[in-house]
Amino acid sequence: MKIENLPEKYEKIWKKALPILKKGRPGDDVHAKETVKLVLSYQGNIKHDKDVIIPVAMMHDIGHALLLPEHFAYVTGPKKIVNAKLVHMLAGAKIAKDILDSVGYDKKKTKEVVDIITINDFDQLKDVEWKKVYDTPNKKFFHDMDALADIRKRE
Amino acid sequence: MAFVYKNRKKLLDLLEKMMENLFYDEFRKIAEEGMEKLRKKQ
Repeated sequence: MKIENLPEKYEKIWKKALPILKKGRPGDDVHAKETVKLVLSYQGNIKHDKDVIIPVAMMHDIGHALLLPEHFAYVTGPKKIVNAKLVHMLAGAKIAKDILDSVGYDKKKTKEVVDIITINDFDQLKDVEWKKVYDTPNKKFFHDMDALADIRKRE
Repeated sequence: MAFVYKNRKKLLDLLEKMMENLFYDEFRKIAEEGMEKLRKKQ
């Protein structure tokens, strides 16, 4: 699955992320691709750093690949959805860090990518003042791109 | 996010909430246009 007009510097990341995304939920790979395309096409004035946002767009849902049906036997109770979301964010952050380290990505940007993936679904959690968590321009920008990609793919 | 929902009403409610939660008005306008198309499809 190729992403049209993807700058070469991100190709190595996509090549490593895609096979893992394919092991996750159905559609996670397509959603990642569509989110990247949306970010690449953005021409407006909202401040953001593509070197952070593009890897986040590629890998924000990658943690689902580690959640196996066997795990769900232990993710139970009234907070099971919240717990599953937390697990996928943390697992995803770890996978993303490994991939970025393996391709020699900039350390400072890697840290920010990991930071955003760790909180990327906080707006889905209940009883959390989630807006306070999205406390940087990149976090806010990615939050909106992720949501827009989800809305647009269903148009 | 990449939600997989079988129930269309639930999905539309969720997308509506996502639209309300956007940080930037610029994106909200784009999302509103998308939601309009989705509602018409229903």
